[in-house]
Amino acid sequence: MTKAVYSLQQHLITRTVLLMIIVFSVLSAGVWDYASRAADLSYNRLLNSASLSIIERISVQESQIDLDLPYAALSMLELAPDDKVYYEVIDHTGQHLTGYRKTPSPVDYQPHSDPQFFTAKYKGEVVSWVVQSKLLIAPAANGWVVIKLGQTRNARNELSGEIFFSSLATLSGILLLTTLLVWLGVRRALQPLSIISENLKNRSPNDLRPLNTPAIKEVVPLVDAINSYQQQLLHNLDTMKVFIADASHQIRSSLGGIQGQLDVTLQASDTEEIRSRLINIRQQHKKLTRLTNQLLAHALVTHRSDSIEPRLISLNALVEALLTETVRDQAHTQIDFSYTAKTDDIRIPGDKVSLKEALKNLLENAVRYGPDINQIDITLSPCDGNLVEIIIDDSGPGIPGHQRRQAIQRFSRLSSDVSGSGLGLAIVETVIQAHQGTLKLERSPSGGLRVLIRLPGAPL
Amino acid sequence: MRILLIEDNEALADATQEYFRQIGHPLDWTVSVEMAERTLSWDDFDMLILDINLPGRSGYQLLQSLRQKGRTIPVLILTARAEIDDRVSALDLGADDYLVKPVDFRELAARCRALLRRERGAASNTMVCGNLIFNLATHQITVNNQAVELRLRERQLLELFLKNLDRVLTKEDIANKLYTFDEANTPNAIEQTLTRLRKKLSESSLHIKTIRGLGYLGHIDD
Repeated sequence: MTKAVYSLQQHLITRTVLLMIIVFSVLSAGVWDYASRAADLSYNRLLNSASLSIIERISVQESQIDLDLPYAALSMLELAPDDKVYYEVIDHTGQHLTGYRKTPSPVDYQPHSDPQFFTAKYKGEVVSWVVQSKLLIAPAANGWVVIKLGQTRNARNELSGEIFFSSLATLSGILLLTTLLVWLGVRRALQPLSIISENLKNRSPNDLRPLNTPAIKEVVPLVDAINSYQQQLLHNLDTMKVFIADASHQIRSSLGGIQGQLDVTLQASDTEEIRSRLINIRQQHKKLTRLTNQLLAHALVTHRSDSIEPRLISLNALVEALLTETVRDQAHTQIDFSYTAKTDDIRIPGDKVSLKEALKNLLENAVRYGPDINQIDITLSPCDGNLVEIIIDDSGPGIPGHQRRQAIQRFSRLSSDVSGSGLGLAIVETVIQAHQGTLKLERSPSGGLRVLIRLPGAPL
Repeated sequence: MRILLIEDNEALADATQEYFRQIGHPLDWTVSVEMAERTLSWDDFDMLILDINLPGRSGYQLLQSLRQKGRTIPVLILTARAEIDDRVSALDLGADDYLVKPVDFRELAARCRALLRRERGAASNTMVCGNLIFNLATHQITVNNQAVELRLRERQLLELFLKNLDRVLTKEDIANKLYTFDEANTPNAIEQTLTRLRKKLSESSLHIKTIRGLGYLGHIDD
């Protein structure tokens, strides 16, 4: 039934770190995009101004296209010393005019005076290109002259890398700091828990004071709960102490009585006297036996009420078996028993052993405290609200109204009858309480005692 | 009739032996399962009185090994605990009856007699139930050696109770056993027969208790 233990701190931090990693990835993608675009923008501008200055030098001289390549324009591109520069000029007929041959063009290029930028592979390298056209209107050459200028990307990549990694460094710094703050925050938030557990751990078992309530609003309910649980345990402990004191008193008194009788008997020499003393001792001993049995039964039902999982049991079968046993043991007496079950199959969730012990005690009480000619009636019936009613009536003297409450208390005997243990009804009450039922003492129709028990029935 | 007592508490064993000797049923005594097994291997007994908490092997182990060997010898368990387990009682483990210590010797003797009666009743024609003797072959019934005349139905009813001592018999049980399907029987007829039987056997050890709403229970008080 134990669940796997997990650390709240670890849980919170793991989640935060996961969230941070997601944020980090999204931001990195954004930064990367920004860095490449910034680098492209700057180098494309350089490329474009170079291509513009080339295009300006194109003129038509004597029916021939003339190009005076401006080296200054190309030197502009030397700002990126590691990069190679390629160019090609194509005349209005689409023939190669000058520069490198077979340089790439954008797909479906329509000549236009605005520059167009694209990236394509050339001579095995990725090259950024600008393509631009100039319309020549002359009798000798009428049409678009296209100029393509390309530059390898080393400088751009370097620039975008630089932007990217410097931004990334800042970002990582911020994220690490956030994680650290979250970690500290979680630790701080969970600290009251460690304080409480330390406090509990260092406590001596004899320290019965309640825990100090810390001045943290969220922790107060926990401490209150611990304290109320402790109070409950202390209360149980007190009840137990009183019970042990009562039980010790009863057992010691009985043992004392027997020992006294034995001592006196040993002194006696008259056979008749010895015999009557022995009868006395036997009587005392019987009482002690019953007391011991009842104490053990009480301990049994108390223990079981805390520890046994309820099972569905047939109340009819339980009562019939118990009644059969009782009738067998009382066969020689003038006691009549009757049994009425309103339904054949009454089932309730509960502990068979405890319930049997409780009902046995009630039947024994009815026999013990009833007259010699007695009528004991047991009735089982379902009643409203999914409850089951058990009624045990006798035709004995009954218990007067004002003594009924006292009758249920431990070791309180209403008469000086020597045979009672004073535990019977306490056992019954413990069992009925454990079954979430109620126990009532009333007057039976024949003027005796009616014990009325209501127990929750089987879940519908 | 021989009874073997297996009990390690010497005081209890000694007293039990003395009590049974006084009522005329001497019993043999061993202190452990191991010794009991040796004794049982060369001697015949009519029943066992078996303590559970013994040095060495427990009483249950002896009971189990006996039942596994198919021996049906009646076993009465003496236990210090009313419940061995939530679900398993001494009876589930193959015992014929059980008593919780400390026991009243009169009760112990009565239970032993009941077990022996059940055992013997199945084997012979004469059922001895306290002061009541019922000869199944001759249909002769005596109480305190005085012959008692019973009508057919009364005798059948008596036989039914003697064969189901300490058990509840419902009216239906009795009607099914005593009357054929055609015979007009009313629960009243059973009641009347029972009243006559009780009257004729009023001096006997047999008590037939009516549990209204449940049935009837026969018990020998001897």
